[in-house]
Amino acid sequence: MSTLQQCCEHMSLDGLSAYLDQELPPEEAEKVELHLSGCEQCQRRLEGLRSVVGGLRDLERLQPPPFVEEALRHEISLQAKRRSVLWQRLDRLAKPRSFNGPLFAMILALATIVLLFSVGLERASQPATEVIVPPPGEPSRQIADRVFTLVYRGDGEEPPSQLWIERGARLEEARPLDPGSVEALALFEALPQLEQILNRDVVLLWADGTVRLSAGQSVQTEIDSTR
Amino acid sequence: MSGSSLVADQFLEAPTQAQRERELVHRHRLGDESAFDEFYQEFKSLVYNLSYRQCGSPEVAQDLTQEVFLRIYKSLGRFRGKSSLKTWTYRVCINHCRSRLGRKNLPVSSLTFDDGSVREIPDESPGPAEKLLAVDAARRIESALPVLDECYREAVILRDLEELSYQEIAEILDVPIGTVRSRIARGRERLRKVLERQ
Repeated sequence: MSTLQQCCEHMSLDGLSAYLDQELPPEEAEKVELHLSGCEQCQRRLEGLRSVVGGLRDLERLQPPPFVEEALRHEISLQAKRRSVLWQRLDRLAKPRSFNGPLFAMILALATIVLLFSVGLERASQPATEVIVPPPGEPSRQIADRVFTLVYRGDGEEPPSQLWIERGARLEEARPLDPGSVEALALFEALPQLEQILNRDVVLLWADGTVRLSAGQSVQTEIDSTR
Repeated sequence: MSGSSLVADQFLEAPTQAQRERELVHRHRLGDESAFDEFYQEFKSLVYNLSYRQCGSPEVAQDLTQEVFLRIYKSLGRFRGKSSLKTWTYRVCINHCRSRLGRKNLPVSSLTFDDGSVREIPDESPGPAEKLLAVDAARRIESALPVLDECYREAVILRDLEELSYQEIAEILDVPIGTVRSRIARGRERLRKVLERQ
């Protein structure tokens, strides 16, 4: 013992501690055991470490009190609610707003008012419209298979000619009649008055082949279409 | 026959720990609250003991435990399985205790160590140093633990209380094994000196 103690350096603290934990490679562990067998100082040191480890391992293993779990659950549920509220707010920001009936109706009403007002302004800026009113008792004439009604300008002037216009034609389907077209020639045969009118007014040809005058702009045809 | 038996054995083989952990994390991601309940039951003792041994105060340890689990609840879904769930939990707990427990944060009294340094002892200890020295070794060690330097305390707790291997401790503390070995030895030595003062 004394020989070893005299000839060897003491074991390092790290080495003794790791030896206690059996964390040394076998060859190093053998060296430690050899040293310890002859070194009382290192033996005491090792025993001191062993008592510390024993004391630590004797410490009671504790369990958290039940209220820790309850408090944790409560906190988690609170956070989940907060997150839910946050998500709802984010959702509201991200999603387009849901349909709001009253608001939509109000916007629509405002838009209608503005539209009507602008149309009214537009009409007011136009020259006074001419109203073509068929004279009472004015006969209709049948040309080919169609019934045409005589119309004239209702502004007091004499009608420029005998104008016949088909009853019940629809304005929306009209397109200007090309005076040089085959259709126009055919129409001129059926309605010789048209040729005179073309020099002054636009003749509209309807998709169904009917003819309308547009001399009085839309009012003329509106009156006609109401007949 | 033997082939089919082999196949049957493979199917009957119990899932590994890693598979169970992956499954638990997956359930948590899907919002299955029972997954976190299971996690809490499995690791509550680990987290509470680790927290308590770090701070030495039951009240503080209870707060720390709650905070650690809350932190885990939020981040468990991001667990990628690079380490075991246990190692990861230790790491979360250690890091949280480090950030929450400045040594000066605890209400403490003081004790002079034999190296002449004055260390702080939490008020949870029985009282003055003289009174402290009269109690048994385990109690004195328990009282002295929280005042060890953080790096030594963590290493000693993980080794001697949690009984982890040096390799596991190295993973948790993210230091080389040699450092773990050194910290454990120095921590034990300081505690030994406390005991020898009796």
